[in-house]
Amino acid sequence: MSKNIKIFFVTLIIAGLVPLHVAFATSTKINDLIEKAMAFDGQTVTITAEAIGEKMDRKDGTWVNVTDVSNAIGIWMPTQESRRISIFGNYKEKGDILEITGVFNRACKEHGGESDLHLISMRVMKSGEIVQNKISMTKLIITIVLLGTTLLFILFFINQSKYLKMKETKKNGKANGQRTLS
Amino acid sequence: MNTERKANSIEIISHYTGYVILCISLLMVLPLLVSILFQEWNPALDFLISISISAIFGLALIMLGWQRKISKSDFQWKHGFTVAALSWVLLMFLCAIPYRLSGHTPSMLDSMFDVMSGFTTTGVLLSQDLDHMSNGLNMWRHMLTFIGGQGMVVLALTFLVKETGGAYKMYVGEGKDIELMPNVKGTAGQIWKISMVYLIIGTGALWINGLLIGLQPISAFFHALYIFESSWSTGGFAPMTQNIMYYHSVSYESVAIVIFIIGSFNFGLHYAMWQGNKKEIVRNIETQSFFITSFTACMLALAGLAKSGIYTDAMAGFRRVVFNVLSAHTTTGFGSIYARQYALEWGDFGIMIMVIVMLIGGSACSTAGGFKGLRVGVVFKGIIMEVKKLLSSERNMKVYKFHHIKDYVLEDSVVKSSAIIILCYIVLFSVGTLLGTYYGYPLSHSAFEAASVTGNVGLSIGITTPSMPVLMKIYYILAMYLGRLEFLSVFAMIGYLGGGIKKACQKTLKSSLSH
Amino acid sequence: MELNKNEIKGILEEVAIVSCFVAMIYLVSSVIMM
Repeated sequence: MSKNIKIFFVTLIIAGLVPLHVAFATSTKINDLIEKAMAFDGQTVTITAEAIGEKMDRKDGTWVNVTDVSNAIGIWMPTQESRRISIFGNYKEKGDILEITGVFNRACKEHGGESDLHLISMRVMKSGEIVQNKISMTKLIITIVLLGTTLLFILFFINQSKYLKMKETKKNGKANGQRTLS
Repeated sequence: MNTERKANSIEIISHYTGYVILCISLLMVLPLLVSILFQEWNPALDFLISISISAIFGLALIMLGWQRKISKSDFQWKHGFTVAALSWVLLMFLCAIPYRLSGHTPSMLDSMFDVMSGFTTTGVLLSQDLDHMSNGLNMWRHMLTFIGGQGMVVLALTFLVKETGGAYKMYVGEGKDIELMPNVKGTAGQIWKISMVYLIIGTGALWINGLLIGLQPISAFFHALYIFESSWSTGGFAPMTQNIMYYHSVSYESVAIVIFIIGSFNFGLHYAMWQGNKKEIVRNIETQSFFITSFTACMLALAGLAKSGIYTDAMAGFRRVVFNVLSAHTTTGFGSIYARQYALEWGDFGIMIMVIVMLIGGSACSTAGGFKGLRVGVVFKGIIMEVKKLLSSERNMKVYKFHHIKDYVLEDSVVKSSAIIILCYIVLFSVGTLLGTYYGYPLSHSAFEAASVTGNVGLSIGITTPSMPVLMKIYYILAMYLGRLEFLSVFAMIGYLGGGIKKACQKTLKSSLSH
Repeated sequence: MELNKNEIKGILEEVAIVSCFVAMIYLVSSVIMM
């Protein structure tokens, strides 16, 4: 009997955790914000995205651009908040993954009609990291072979053009010679 | 026509095409250096591979045409047009190699699409994940649009061709006909001088602006360089996914507007202004046409979008409507709103205004696309002239004129040739629109995208994506190419190659019949 | 690369005229949007 009660309580706890798990996953895709801009206008939304490029400090706040592969958007936040972001994505690095909750504006009055997100709260979900861009051996070998071939071609080209120049001066010389004779 | 002459034609074309290709392949050294500077080793290798392949190709073509140097056969118009048109096709393939190797474009077709978009200063793109792109590749993308704007042939002419006989014919083949100096090499040199001076001034202005809006010094410089190259060439590429929105700055946008409007003007106009001819900018039929049509279009678009409640304050109107209308009219293609917002928010009226201005385009002999203001102005004046002729008495022999650097008589032949080219553009645009509707895209959206590629604009309403039908990708490449080279050289090349193939088939048929 | 006086004047004039055009559009559009 006690075993059944234990199972019952465990099931209850797990069932209770499920809604919480679902709550974490209500991130909207940036592209959905744009596609349904009218509906999302003025709403508080949550997105999960990577910080990219660099932050831009302005007079009364900072712009941070983020991307979640579906699209990219600018986040307007207090400069202090932006300092929590350590790595911004580029060729060599993957930026900090942020969970951002903010107000979506389809045509922000403060920012000249831009579609942006004004920050309410931000969580750094995952720190950024350096991306391993390893050089493949095949590519290196192909490069060396091609460079070698190009060098040979250039040498052949120079050789041929010298030969042609010689031929031309010989031809001109012959023509001049004939003229002086007659 | 005997067989020996025919071989010479192929050799002439091969010889000069080879030179153009070699010249462009040498330019790949610049992105290579950038990659090395930033320690981006994979892109560096990509560029070394591309340089090698292109150089080998170029040298091979030059050598195939050695006979040209020996025999000195005469260079005809058909050769000039074919060299221009053929170079562009071969370079489309060669310059796509770094893209393909980088992984930002999944297929060779997508890579060639982006290259053609760069050359023709269109600006639509299929490349993915710009935000993680190497500096080397980004440098290459923006260089392509800068060079394409001036013209690959123009670049090659500045450095390589010694004899001037063929030079003018290749120059015209690339869609230019303005003569700034008595010889083509001089004209090409002037075009480059004008572009380089503005490059220094424009990059400087954007660099300072970039620092003021919060960018770091080094990245501010590169962004400034890229955005200048894209603005001046009216290309519309930008280093980041968000295009001009990345900067969130009205000053950055405004400087870009000034640069891309100036960039859309005729090189002859710049030259005239630089010679002290102040009045040219207001007397010229193209600038007059542009100022009138762009002003009208901005006002109509603002009125339409204010009416539908999309943008209701002046600053938003300027940054989101005026910016995009001017970007479309000059065929630049910078977007200050998301592509899909044209589809979802602008409504048919706004979309149609954009279609019209994209087709009208910029000035002739500039980096811009479209019908060109010169033709629109000429045809418009031509219509007025016809009406006036009908209404006035037959004894009145008034001469109608227009001003484009010099004064010209508005003859029927000028009006006719302008109208014919406009008709070609309309056909190209219509087929593109039809193709879009065939694949199920709404009419106004298809028209928008078709106008964008035909006029080499670069704005997208959301149709251009990697998942787009292959036939549409191919058609768009063709449309960008035909639009930029203004039909004639491509028709000449096709006609010439087609004639050659026909003759070859006839010969084979004859010889097989005689057996 | 050197620029003579005329060329510098030409550049300044082009930039000035285009900037004025853009400014004018902004001013007129502010009136329309009001």
